[in-house]
Amino acid sequence: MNVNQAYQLMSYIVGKNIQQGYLSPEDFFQVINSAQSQYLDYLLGEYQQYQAGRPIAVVEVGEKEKIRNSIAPLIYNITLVPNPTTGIASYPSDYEAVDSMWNVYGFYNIRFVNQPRLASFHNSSIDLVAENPIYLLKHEGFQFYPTNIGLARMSYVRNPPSIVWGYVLDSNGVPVYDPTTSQQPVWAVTDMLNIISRALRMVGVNLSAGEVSQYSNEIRNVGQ
Amino acid sequence: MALNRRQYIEQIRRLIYGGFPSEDAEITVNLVNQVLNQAIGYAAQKAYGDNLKIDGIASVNNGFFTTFKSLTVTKDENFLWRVTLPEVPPGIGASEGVSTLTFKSDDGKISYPVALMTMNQASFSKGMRDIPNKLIGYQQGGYVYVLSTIQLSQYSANCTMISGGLSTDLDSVLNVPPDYLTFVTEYLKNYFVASRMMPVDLNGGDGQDFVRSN
Repeated sequence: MNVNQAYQLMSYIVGKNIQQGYLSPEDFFQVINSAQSQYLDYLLGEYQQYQAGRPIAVVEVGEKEKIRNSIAPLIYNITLVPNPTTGIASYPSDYEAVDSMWNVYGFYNIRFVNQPRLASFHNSSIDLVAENPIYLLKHEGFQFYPTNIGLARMSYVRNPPSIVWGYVLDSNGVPVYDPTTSQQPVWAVTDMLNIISRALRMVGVNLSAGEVSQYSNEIRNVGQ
Repeated sequence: MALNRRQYIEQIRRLIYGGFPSEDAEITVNLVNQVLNQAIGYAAQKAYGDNLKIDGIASVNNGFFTTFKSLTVTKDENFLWRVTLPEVPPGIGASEGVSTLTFKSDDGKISYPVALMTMNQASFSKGMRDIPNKLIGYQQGGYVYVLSTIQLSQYSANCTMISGGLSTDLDSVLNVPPDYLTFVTEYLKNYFVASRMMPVDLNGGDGQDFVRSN
C-alpha cells in the first residue's frame, strides 16, 4: 500500500463516518507517523501488558515468523566499532531497539546485561567475560565488556522512516498527490491497515467522532 | 557415532529451554559442561551400586573410563612423585576413581602399573620393604603420588580413571555408556529445572536481598 492509497482510505473512512469529514495532508502526516510508532511499540512488546514477575506482552517481536515478517522492513545490521579504551559504541542515528548482538568472528552471542547484574556477569568464573562478552545500555551508547572487544555486529530495529503524502496545489488550491515529494511506508499492506486503524482513533478523538473511534477500536480488538 | 560433549550439552540445553535456546539463555554451554562432570560422577556411582546389586561385585563399567596420556610428573618430596590428573576423579569405592597408572619413557617403554592404595594403606606402607618391580602410590584429590627411589620426573604418566572424557575439550567423546546417560540427563534436568524454578530478583540494585515478585 502506498502513501496515497493510505491517505485515500483514511479520507474515505473519515468522510463516511462524519459529515463533511476532511483530513488535511498535515493532519495525515501527524497521525500516520504517530500511529506507525505506536504500532512499532506494539510489535516490540508493549510493557503496559506485562504482568508482575512475567515481563511478556501479548505480542512480542520474537514470537512468530508472522510478527518477524511485519517488523522485517525495519531490521538492519551494522558493525559497531567500540572505543578500545572505554568500550563504548554510539547508537546508530535511527536506532530503536537491539534485535541481537554478535561477535564479528562468527555468530557468537554478545549478551545484554543490565547494570545491577554487571558485577555478577563481569566476575563470572564459569563464563569469563573475556571469552563471553557482554554489553550494557548507557546514555552514551553501548558499553561493551571487555572494553577492547574490537568490533561487534548488531541486528537492530530502526525507527520507521516518516510517511509523507507529498502534494502540489492545483489551480483551485486543492492538494494533488505528488509521488516525487512523497515518502512511502515501508510496511506491508496488512501492517498498514493496523497502522491506519490506530491513526483513525486519533482522528476520531480530534474530530470528536465516536463512530471513527469505535470503528478503530473494533479493528484493534477484534481484528480486521 | 560417538556422542561428543558439545552435542550432548546442546541436547540438554534444548531440553531445558524447550527448543533452541535464545541468546539470553543463562544456562550456558560452560555451565552445563561444568555440572556435567558432577552428573557423570552421579551416574558412575549409580553403576557401581547397580553392579553390586546384580553381580555381587562392586565395579564400574569400563565405559566410564578414560585414559589420559602424557601427564606431567613432578617431584613432590624425596622419593615421592606427583602426577597431576586432568580432573578430580569420582570418589567411588575405596580407590576406584583411578584404575591404572603407568609411566612411559621417551622411547615408548611403558612401566608396570602402579599399585594404588587407599590412604590407610598408604600409612601402613611406610617403612615396609619395597615390592620388587612394583611401584606403589595413592590418589589424593587431583593428584596421584607415587613412592619410588627412581627419578620418575624423567617420564610421563598415563592414567586410566573414571571420567566422562576431557572436559576442557568440548569436541571430545563423552565417555558414558548409553544406558547410564539417562542418569546423567536426569541429574542435569533436575539441577537446571530447579535453577529455573527459583524466584528471580527482578529489582537488582535496590539494596534488598529478596524477591519482590514471581
